Amino acid sequence: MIALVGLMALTVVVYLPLWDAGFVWEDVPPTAGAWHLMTLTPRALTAASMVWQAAQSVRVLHLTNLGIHLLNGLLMFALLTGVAAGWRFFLTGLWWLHPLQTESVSYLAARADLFLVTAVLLLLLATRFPKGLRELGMLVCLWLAFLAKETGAVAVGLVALWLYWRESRLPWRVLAVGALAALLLSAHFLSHLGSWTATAPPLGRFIGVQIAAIWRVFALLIVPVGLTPAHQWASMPPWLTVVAVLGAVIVLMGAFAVRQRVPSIAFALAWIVIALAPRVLVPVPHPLTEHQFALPMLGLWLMPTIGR
Amino acid sequence: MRPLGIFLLLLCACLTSARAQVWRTNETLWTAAADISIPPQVHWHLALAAFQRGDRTTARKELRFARAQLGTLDQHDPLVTLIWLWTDIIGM
Repeated sequence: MIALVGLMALTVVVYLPLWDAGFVWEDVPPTAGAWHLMTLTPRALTAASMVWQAAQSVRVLHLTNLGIHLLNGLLMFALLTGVAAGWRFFLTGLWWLHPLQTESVSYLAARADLFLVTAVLLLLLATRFPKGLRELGMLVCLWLAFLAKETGAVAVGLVALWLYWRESRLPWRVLAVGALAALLLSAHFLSHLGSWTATAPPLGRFIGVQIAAIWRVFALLIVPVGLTPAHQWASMPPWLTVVAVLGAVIVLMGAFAVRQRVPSIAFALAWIVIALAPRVLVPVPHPLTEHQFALPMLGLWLMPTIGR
Repeated sequence: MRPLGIFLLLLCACLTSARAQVWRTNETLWTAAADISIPPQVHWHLALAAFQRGDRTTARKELRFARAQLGTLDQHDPLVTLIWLWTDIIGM
């Protein structure tokens, strides 16, 4: 417990510069109309939390982001029950302190990604509740995920993957309700994209760039040098997108081939594919950013729980 | 936790702290307005010259300017690949 408190304290110290941070780039003061409008969209929970804090200072907004990040680490720690104590503390600490998380925590516009991670972690914990309470808990958490971000619909696929890999059985009724809600949510969101997608590149080019961007962010996870909120993916050379797509196909085929022998790797890759599917398949003008990798990278952190 | 784990966490803490500091100062990249009267090729050569004489600050600034104007170049121009690789893979 002392180690956990120590890691939390270290995380707070690391993020102390946020004390004086202001609004940057897409961060708009929550009193602005944009956030109010967003309370009507699938991002309602995130928008409502921003509007609710409108009367507070920017410092409160940043501290709330940090608080959600710390909460996510604690939920992760709870989820890693059964994993060797050393690994459990290390993975929780790494989640709190990894440089790739800086954008999710520091960037107020990324609060939706933090909330989505919270909802998914709660969802996975709810699968351990006693029968009866488990179904209710899962439905509530799925609803939270839908309200956190437009891409919250992926939570249905992620929890199905988690249960399939850990228990080899699925609560069909809960998943059917969740999938139906996710479909409605996705249809609502896609119908409101409208002219926004008009400035996006052609679908083939978009998918290639996104997959190459995923490789790059994955590399940043291992060697976090070159972090920036403004990656210039759009100017990526065409040959690199082809190499990236081929590489992804080879890696996924390899993971499928060894899924019995090394299930944790197959699980993590399947998790990343599901979590990033909307980002790869729905062409929007803004390519992948580092904070959008928060939910996909959760799959890597859950690897030690697979096969136990 | 083993010493290697503690070392990795402390390394991450240092890197994240530095990153959070950059966010506090509004990431100069965001506010670096490129001089659009100068084409990206010129910025690229100015960056190379600065790099060769060891002036990394100027080299970074010119690279940012070059990168900010990548859209003005033919996307098949090898310079696009060079600037992209330098700024995104090698880092600034």
